[in-house]
Order: sequence, then C-alpha cells, then structure tokens
Amino acid sequence: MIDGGVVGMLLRWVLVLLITTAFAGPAAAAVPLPRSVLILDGTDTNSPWGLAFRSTIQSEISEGSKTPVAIYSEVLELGRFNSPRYQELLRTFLREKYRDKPIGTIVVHGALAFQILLRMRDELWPGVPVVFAFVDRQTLSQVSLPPDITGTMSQLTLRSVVAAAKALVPNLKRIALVGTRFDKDPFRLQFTQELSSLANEIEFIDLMDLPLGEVQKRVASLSEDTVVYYSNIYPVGQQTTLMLGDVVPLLARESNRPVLTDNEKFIGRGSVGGIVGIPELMAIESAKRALRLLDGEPASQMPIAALDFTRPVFDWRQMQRFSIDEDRLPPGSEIRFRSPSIWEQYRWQLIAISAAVILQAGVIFGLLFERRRRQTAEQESRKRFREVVHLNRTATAGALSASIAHELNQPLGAILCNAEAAEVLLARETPDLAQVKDILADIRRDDRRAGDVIRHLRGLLKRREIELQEFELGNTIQATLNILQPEAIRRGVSLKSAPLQGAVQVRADQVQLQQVILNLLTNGMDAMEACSPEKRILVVESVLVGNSEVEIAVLDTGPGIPGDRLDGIFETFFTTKPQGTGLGLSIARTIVETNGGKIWAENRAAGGAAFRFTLPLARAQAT
Amino acid sequence: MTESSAIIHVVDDDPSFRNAIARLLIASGYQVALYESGDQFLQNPPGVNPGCILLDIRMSGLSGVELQERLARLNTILPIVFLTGHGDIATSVKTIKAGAEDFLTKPVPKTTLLEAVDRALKRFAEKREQYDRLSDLRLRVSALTPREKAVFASVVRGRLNKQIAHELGTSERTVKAHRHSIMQKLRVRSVAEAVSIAERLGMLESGSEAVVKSK
Repeated sequence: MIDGGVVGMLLRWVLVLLITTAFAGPAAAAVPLPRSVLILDGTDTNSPWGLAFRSTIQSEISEGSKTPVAIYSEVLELGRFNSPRYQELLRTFLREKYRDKPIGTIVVHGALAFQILLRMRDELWPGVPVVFAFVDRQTLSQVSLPPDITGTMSQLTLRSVVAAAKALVPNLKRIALVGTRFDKDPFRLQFTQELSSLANEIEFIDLMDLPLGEVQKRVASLSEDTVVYYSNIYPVGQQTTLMLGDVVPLLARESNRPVLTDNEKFIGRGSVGGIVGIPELMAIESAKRALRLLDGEPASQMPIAALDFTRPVFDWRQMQRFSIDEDRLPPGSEIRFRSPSIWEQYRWQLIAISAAVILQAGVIFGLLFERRRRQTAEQESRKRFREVVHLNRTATAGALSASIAHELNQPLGAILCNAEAAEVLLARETPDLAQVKDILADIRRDDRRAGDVIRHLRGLLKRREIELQEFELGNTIQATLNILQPEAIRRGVSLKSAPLQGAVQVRADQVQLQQVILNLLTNGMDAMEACSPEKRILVVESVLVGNSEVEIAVLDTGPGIPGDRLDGIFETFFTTKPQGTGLGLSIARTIVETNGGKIWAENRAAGGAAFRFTLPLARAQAT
Repeated sequence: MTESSAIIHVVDDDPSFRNAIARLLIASGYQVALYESGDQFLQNPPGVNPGCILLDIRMSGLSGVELQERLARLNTILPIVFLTGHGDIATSVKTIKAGAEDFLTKPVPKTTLLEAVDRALKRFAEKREQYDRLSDLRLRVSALTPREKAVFASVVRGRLNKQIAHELGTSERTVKAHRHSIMQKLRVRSVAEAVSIAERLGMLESGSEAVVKSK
C-alpha cells in the first residue's frame, strides 16, 4: 500500500538528491575549497630530502596564503614499505583518518606515492585537486590523468650522473653503483632503462643491495678511472639502524674514489657532489600551484610542466681530496665548503706578518751589510796596524844597527881570534892539541851565539801576528836593556833597571812588549839629549798592582812633558821631534791595549817624565 | 926591553872575546893580563912592565872613553889601542884626539892586531925612554941648591952674570962659580943645552918666573 509517509520519504530523498547534485557538479566550482592541504610524501620520515621538501612546502603555503591553511602531511615511507598489504592498510588508515577532514588540495611527492594516490583518490578524496611533484615522464605516460591534476614532471637521470662523473674524472671508464636496486627505488625507477643504453659508454660495477660492510670493502680498492655513484640505500634487514644521511660518510670514508650523488642533501658529508636535485625548488613550485588550486583556479589552467630542479653542486674538500681541477666542472657549478685559502682567511694577519718579516729581513740584511763593512774596515785597520808596527820595528832596528853590529861582532871577533890562535898553535912542532880542542869548542859556541843574535833579530823584524805567551818579565826587560845598552852608552845615557824581587810571569806578546819598552826608552833618550851627561838617567822599573797586573815604568830625567801636551801625547802623528814619525807612542798604546793593559804618562815630581803601562799577570800567578 | 917582559892588558867585558884574544896573544908570544871592566883595571894598576892596553870602547859601567880620560889624568904612559864591535867615526876621532894609539874594529885579524900591538909597544918604549930621560933631568935639577936653582932659572932666561949678581945681591964671581957648579950637576957643556933642559922640564912656561923672585 503506498501511503503518504513513503512518498514523503521519497520526496525528501529526491530533494536531497537534487540539492546534492545541485551542489555537486559545476555549481560546486563556485564554492570555495576548504583551506587545507594534505601532503602525501613517498620518502622516509628521516630522509633529509623529504624533510626539506615538506618543510619548504609548509612554509611556502603558510606564507603564501592570505588566510590560514591547515596542513596535513603523511610520510608514506614507500622505500621501506612497499607490499600490496601495506598499500591496503594505507588506504584504510588514510580513509579513516581523514573521514571528517575535508581536504582542499593534495600535494603528492614521488612517483610511487602518485600512483598509489591515483588508485585511492576516487574513494577517499574524490574531486580534490592534486599537485604532484617529482614524478617522472614514464610514470605519467602510464596513467590517464584526470582533469583536476597538475604538477611538475621532473626526474633524476642516470645520464646526468654519468655526465657529472665524466666532468670530474677525465678518463672515466667505470661507475660503481651503490644503493637500492633501481626498480625498488621510488625516485629512480627510470634508471633501469637508462642502464642498458648507457652500458655502451660506461662499465657499471653493480654493488647495489649489498650489505654496507661488503660495499665498503669493494669501494676501497677501485681503479683510477672509476667513480662511485651512491643513489640511496633504503635500510632493510640488518641495516635498519642506519639513518639515511649517515650512509654517505661511511661510504666516502672507505672509498678510494670520489662518491657522486644526485641528492643535494648528501653534499657536505663526504660526497663530492654531482648534478643534484634540490627538493626546495620542487617544493616552492608545488606550493605555488597548490595555493592557486586552493583559491579555486582550475587545474586545467596549470599545465603540467617538465622542470629541471637539478643543479651542479660540488664539495670543495672532496675535490681537493681527489685532486679534481675546478676548471673541469660544468659552468655555473656551485662549489661549497670551499675552505678559504690561508690567504683569504688570514689576509690581514698575513700582510702584517709579511710586512714584519720583510722589515726584519731588511734590517738583517742591513746589519749583515754593516757587519761586512765593519769587518772589512777592521781587517784593513788591523793590516795597517801590523804594517805600521812592523815599520816602527824596522825603524827602531835601523836605529839600533850599532848595537846589532856590536852584538854580532863580539862572537865573530872571538871566533877569528880563536881560529888564528889555533893556526899558530898547530904550526908548532908539538902542537898543544888539547888547547886546540878547547878553541874549537869555543868557536862552535860563539858561532851559535851569533846565530842566536841573528835569529832574535829576524824574529824582531818579522811581520807577525800577535802571539800571547806567558814569560818572565824581568828577563825580557833585561834583554831589551841589553839591546839598547850600546846605544845608551853612545849617547852618554845611564841605563838602569829596578826590577821586581823574584820572578814575575806575565801574559803578553813578548816581541811587542820589547818594542814598547824600546820605543819608550828611545823617547827617553831623545828627551834627555839636551841635558848634561851626568844628568841623563833612564830607569825601567816594575811593580805589582793588586794581584792581577804588573806596572812597568820608564822614567827619565829630561825636561818632562808640557802640561798642554799630556793629553794628546799618545795620539798618532803627534811628535815634538824634528825627525819624529809621531807613531812611537801611539803604537805603544795600541800594543799595550791589545795586550790587555793601559798606558799613561805623567811628570815626575823631581823633574822628568814617567811613562807607565800595565800588563796582565800570567793566569797561574794571578790569584 | 924585550917583548917577553911586555904585558898586554886586555879590558873587555865579553868573556869569550877576552879569552879568544888572550889565546891568540899568548900563542904569539905575549904575556896577557885580563880585566873584565874598567873599574877592575883601575883597581889593579899595571906596574912597571912595558905593555899596552887593549880596550873595548863600549862596556857597561865605565866606558872605554871614560877610562881613557881617567888614565890620562893618572899620567899612565901605557898606550891604549881601542877595540870595538862597531866603527863609530865620531867616537874614533874623539879617542884618537885624546891620544889613543890606535883604533881597531872587531873581528880583528891577527896581523892587524899584532902590528898594532907592536907599534904600541914601540911607542911605549919611546915614551918610556922619554919619560926616563925626563926623570933623569928632573933628578939632576933637583940636585941643585936653591941658590943654584935661582941662578939656573935666570941663566936660561938670558940674564947676564952682572944682572944676576945684582938681583941676588951677590958678586959676579959668585955667580960664575954657581954657573960652573950648575953646568957640572946638569952635565951640560953649554948654556944652550941648559936652556934645552929647562925648556923640556917646562920651566920656561910663563908663570914659572915666580921661581926667580924667591929670596
């Protein structure tokens, strides 16, 4: 029986249907979409790529929208989980989860995720526009796209990996492939096909799906013409503890050849780089489209575009490690982690240090130059001094030729008398041979004596370096007096010595000391020339000073030294004598000072001059 | 005077030369006395033997020249031959002027040495003779009485007897008697000879007239 209740219910249902269909369909376009976006990301939760993509999308959408947008994101981890059962569960899970959550736009990331979405969409999110990212051409060509889907088609290619590898290694022949097998890699499904076509150019070493330990061993001994390409290892089995980003450093550490990647997030932890995909770029593009869809723009107005989100990016440090020349890189390459050269880092310090070093070097050179000049000058002056001393000595010797002749003629005279006496004796009938023997012995002795005189003379006259010796002072003074004695007598000068009691050992150059005494005595005799004979007295005395020096004095009874001359008397070329060289006293001073003493002149209280100088005692004696 | 009694005095401070020259002189027949310094020689005067002195001109202490001067003051008549190791012209001239017999340089060959020694000894002989003669003359003069000495002094000055008698306050005859005695004592035969003696004894020098005036 049809009653009014049923008709009413029917009418109600028709009304609802009408209303519903009135709202559905084209009129629905006039109704704004819910301000909510669902991100379906096929990567793993801890994938750096995925993280970058999602965070960029979220910030782009939030900032790009005038009104608040609710953002949901689901990380599907299709690399790790990819069984039909899992997909079933996903569908159920998502359906229940988002039952009461109206979604305005879906952003799907990755080819596998895209495929799964397409299968679920009609049930879960019918009519919700979709933006896809990072889906390859091949996948797209295998589906019939509904009208409210837009997106950017982009992909990684094995070819660009090879291109990057060839740029890095000039004579590239092989590429070791490390990672999950391409047909299981949601982002590299298309590589499988490329492999076969590229096999003509490159020999591929297949290390895919091997345990990490095994891979590490294999990449440790690769040949020079090889590179390693690391795609992605989705940890399965024993490797589940691995963080996705951690594989690269482990790999790079063991590998003896550069490790290329195409994932921008792997650069900086050991990969040399390559032509890498940059997720942020993808995300930005996808966010733009999503916002437009949310604002009601139909997807048909946003044609699917094929965009390249890869850039050549390289790690400087790895380039240095493998001596890769920067000039080989493709133009426009970004080089990261370029450690500033020492120059760039410490430019000012380096400049300051260089300046300081150059300055110091300059000073050092200047000093060395000065030193050289000074040494030359010193050498010159030493040479001059030696010459002058020598001259002085020879001059003195010339003046003493009288005493020299006398010294020699004594033994020679004795020899002659002895020889002639022997002749007379031998001419007798019975010669006294014993006496002849004595005579011959005496001749020999006198000959030696003459030889000694000559040797001594030659020693005095030789040009010589200073020779410090330790010798008895009194003996040397007496020897000097003996040399001068004949001259003193000739000039009517009384020559005396007042030596020290006991032996005194001094340390000096013996010949030079004699020269000083000779010079002083000669001066003294010259000074007393004008005196009357009995008043010409020249004394040489020695006295100990402390326990380290001895003072020798030459005292005359001449007119003394005029007060105004006392200072300059030791200067070179100072002389009061008409034939004086003015060198005797200055030489005496130089000799005394070189031998470690001092020399000075003073006037004696009773008249006459006193020339005094000191000499160091021999070390054994000095206490 | 034979050579064997002559003594050569060698004064030299160099022992080896001293001994050598002594050897040579002794081998040549002379007697030698050695002195190592002028002082030593002065302390040991030579005595009456003939001889000469060989003197080194440069010695410490009393130099040869000084010694010569001292000896001259002592009126020694031993001739001096200088020996030296160095021929200094100024000194050699000085010594010769002061009366040195000769000047030799060492080394001295035997012939030169002995010739010089012989000359020196001859000179000594001459001097000795002269000296002896003078001594003799002096002796004769000293035999005169004071009166006779006065007469002698006047006679050699060319005074006439008459003048002498008047000066002395005596007679001419007495003067003549004195003259006779003087001639006898002096052993001369003429006034000229007497004058010669007076002259030789230096009585005719000015200032010696004081002798006449004595009364």
